[in-house]
Amino acid sequence: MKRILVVEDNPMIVKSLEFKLRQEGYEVLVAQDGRQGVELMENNEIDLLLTDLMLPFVNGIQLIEQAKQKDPDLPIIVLSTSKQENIIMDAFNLGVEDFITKPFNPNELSLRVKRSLRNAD
Amino acid sequence: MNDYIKTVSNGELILHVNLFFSVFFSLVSLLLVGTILYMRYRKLRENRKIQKRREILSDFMMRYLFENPNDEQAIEAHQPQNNLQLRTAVQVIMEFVDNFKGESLELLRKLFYAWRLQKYVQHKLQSKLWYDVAQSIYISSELKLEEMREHVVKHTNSTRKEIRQQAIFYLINMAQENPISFLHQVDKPLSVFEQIYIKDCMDTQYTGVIPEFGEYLEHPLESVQIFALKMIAEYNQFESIGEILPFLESEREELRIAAIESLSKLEYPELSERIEQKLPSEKASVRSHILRNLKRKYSLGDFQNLVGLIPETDYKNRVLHFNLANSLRKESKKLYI
Repeated sequence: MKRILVVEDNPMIVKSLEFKLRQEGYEVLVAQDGRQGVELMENNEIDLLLTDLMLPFVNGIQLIEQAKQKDPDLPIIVLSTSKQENIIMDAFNLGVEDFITKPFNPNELSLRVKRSLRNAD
Repeated sequence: MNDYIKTVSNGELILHVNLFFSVFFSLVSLLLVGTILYMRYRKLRENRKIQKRREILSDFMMRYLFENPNDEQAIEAHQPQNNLQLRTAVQVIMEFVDNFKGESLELLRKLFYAWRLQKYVQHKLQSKLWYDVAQSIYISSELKLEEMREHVVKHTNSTRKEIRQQAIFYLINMAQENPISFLHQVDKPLSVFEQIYIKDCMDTQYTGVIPEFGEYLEHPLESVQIFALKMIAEYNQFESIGEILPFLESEREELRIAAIESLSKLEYPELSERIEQKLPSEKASVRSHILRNLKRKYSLGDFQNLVGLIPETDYKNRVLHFNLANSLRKESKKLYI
């Protein structure tokens, strides 16, 4: 079973993603801030990281940097409201696979997760 | 203590009064503390109820959105019954609406109607509290509730700017064509912020044909006319140039300035000639706009000649002319090199 780490500070989104991804047959780990995200990443093997960019304590870019240091091939999907081009470019330069803007379509997100995991295999 | 009671009962008035007020204020304090504690307890109980209700609703909505959206029985079983449940249901649905789009958004709209929440929103739209009204208009915009239109239109003339902004957002967001037709009913001047807000809403929310702004040049409000002048230039509506020209002769200085700026952006070829003639007689505030516009069109020599048209008493614009001529000189040197 593929394991996905979701890092997002909006409890409603966390709950929805957890529900949706579990329903799709994934094992889901959730963190509501960047620090917790780093801890979960260090203590668990994950197959995909789904993260927001604006996070408390450790921001999304720092989290992506750490994830890529640990596993350069880890597929990462960013889910964010940020429309700042420089932040989005930073994320892509770090090797982010996909970028989804909020508000988002949960079915589309699910398809993108599937595609990213398939590409990583 | 006995001596004290004896002294009091022996009847010194001041002691009687003292005792009366001590007892009275002690009772008032107790009553006050009691009321505060009771209110706090009620609030905590209400918050607990809301929290519990929110959890029940969000669990239900996960299943509704991602598992079985056609479970009529479950929808009916979660039907909000009282005011608190209605308020919580609207809040939870709006949290989902803010984050989801596509099929999920359509399902949320369906659920909103299934729970008959539109009646609650309509009721709040008629509230005397401005934040209830503003929030109801926001909900109507996000869920595209067409039936609220006639109630929302009235609020474009609200005395609260927050309500006016939400109403503008709703009307532009809902429009299929002519998104600013509500301006015909507006009788409160548009602030600069509202003008920018309307433009922003048109760029981000409206996908139809851009309206003819020339239609609003005859509006009784100066602020709407200025907005129309700016938008004509913004959207390159050259066909309205003929309607702008009379504004160069307007009695209102703000309108003359807006007309100059608009015609300049539209690159109206006769503008320089027309405004140069006005330099000696115009007000100082308009004169500075004329100078800035002529600087863009004139060669250094022609621009320098304009100094004779600026009255000697208008020191500020003479300095401005000097500075603009200097920058024109630098620009022409760069061009030459």
